[in-house]
Amino acid sequence: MTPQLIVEDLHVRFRTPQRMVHAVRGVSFTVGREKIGIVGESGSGKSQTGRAILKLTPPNGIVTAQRLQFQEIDIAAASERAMLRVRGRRISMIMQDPKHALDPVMRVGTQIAEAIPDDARLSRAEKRDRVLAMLEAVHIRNPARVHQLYPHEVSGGMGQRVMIAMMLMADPDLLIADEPTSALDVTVRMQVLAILDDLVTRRGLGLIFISHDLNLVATFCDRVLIMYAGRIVEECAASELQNATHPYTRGLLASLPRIGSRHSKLAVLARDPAWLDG
Amino acid sequence: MSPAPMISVQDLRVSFGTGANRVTAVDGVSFAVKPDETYGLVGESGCGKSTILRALCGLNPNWSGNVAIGGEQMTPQRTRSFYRRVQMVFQDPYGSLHPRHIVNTTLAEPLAIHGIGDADERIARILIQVGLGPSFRYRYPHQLSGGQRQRLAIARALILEPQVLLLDEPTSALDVSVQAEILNLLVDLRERLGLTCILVSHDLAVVAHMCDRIGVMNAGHLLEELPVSALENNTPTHPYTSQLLAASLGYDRKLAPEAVEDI
Repeated sequence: MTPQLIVEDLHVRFRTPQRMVHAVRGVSFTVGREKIGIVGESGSGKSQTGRAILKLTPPNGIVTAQRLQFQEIDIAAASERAMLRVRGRRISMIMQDPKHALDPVMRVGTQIAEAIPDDARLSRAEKRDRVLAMLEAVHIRNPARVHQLYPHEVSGGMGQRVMIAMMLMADPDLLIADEPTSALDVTVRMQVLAILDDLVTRRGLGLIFISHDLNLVATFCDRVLIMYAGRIVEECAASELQNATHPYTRGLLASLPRIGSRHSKLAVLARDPAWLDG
Repeated sequence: MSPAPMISVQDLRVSFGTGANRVTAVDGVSFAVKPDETYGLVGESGCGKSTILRALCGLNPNWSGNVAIGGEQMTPQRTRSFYRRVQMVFQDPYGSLHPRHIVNTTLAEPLAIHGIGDADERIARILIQVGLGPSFRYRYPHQLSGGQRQRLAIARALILEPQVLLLDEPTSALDVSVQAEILNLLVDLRERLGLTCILVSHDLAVVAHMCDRIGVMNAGHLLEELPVSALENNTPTHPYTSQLLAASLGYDRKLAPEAVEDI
């Protein structure tokens, strides 16, 4: 299986008035038609890695990479114009919070229809049918009603499904999901994850799942990359996460409270400066 | 005979809005917390668990029912002495601290309000107790990390030496490694100071780690009360609790009820 996405030695730096912040420091990985999890604590560079793939790094950021290749496209060298044909069409991104990512003054149905590529040349009625079908595909019970609603009228879980529907309109090959379920309640989370899971298995998508939740990634993804201070410190099969060898990963796992850990002290992570280069 | 409860709540109701917009956030909840116990309330967002804490600590006077804390019946209006006995720690340490008050000012304010002298000594002592130390005394919140801020919020709650500490998702804004430090601190402090606590969280693992008894809430109702040992042995009685328990263990395709048909 040839990988769809190849990332080699990716760096993201930010120029701030005080100093240069090196947010991502030489990250390399590949993504095939599989679910890859990127886990790490806040500030570990996991979101910036996801954004750099779509060239969505904020303007004060500088991205460099040996190689950033998506299928036949050299993203590192691609112009902004060329990226317009990639973003949302070949690679889509699902953001953390539907409350912020949806346009508050546009009806849900209209927003989803916007994601249909212009070259599909569909009539208004055809577009509407496609949107309704997609809403149904992401388990919205009454698509015709939801089609008419504004984002503030839908619940968090429904908003997240609307976002997923929008991202799928153009039939992308790769989905980047940045904490797609952390704003959702546990029971709704299961549904949204099941939708993503089935998409990967049935449509053969690649999925990059960015999360801070180790348990979730271990049970949902196929492979896991663990990031610390802008570097990947460990890569393993998700099912092998419990047997991770890097002291940082081991420390994170040990610091999780679990049912049955009552009356014991939780292990506290002792950060080793050597991990910065590990 | 079991000791008299420190906190006793009977048929607590809280609603917001009027007329057609009336929403009953807490609908007839009753529970009791023994002295020195940590009682956990779990449930999803919007189930009313934080609303209960806000009614208990006097932040929301619009409730009905019977609430007694330390044997004393509560009225919507609270006295100053009440706040010496009951304090709260909020979810978001980025929002709950005054950005332009240094640590010393934040901690001196409750002492000034209650007319307590020897502020200097008390502040120094509480900073050591929460593991911050004297060097933090003249810093602003923006100079502190998330974990240090939450330690400060705990110090502010404890500086009046309360008997009851209400914890509203104290670690959900923190990374897991920092969460472990704060949970350890809370366990340590509650033993040393003999605190009675109510811990509200959406994370079953956090509640199971901290408490002996938990109440499971959904849509304003207390569905069931169970000892944490029932979670450990995987024998909850209510199906909703089983669902929460299964979800806390991670993703399982089988838990998402309806299968997705050809997308």
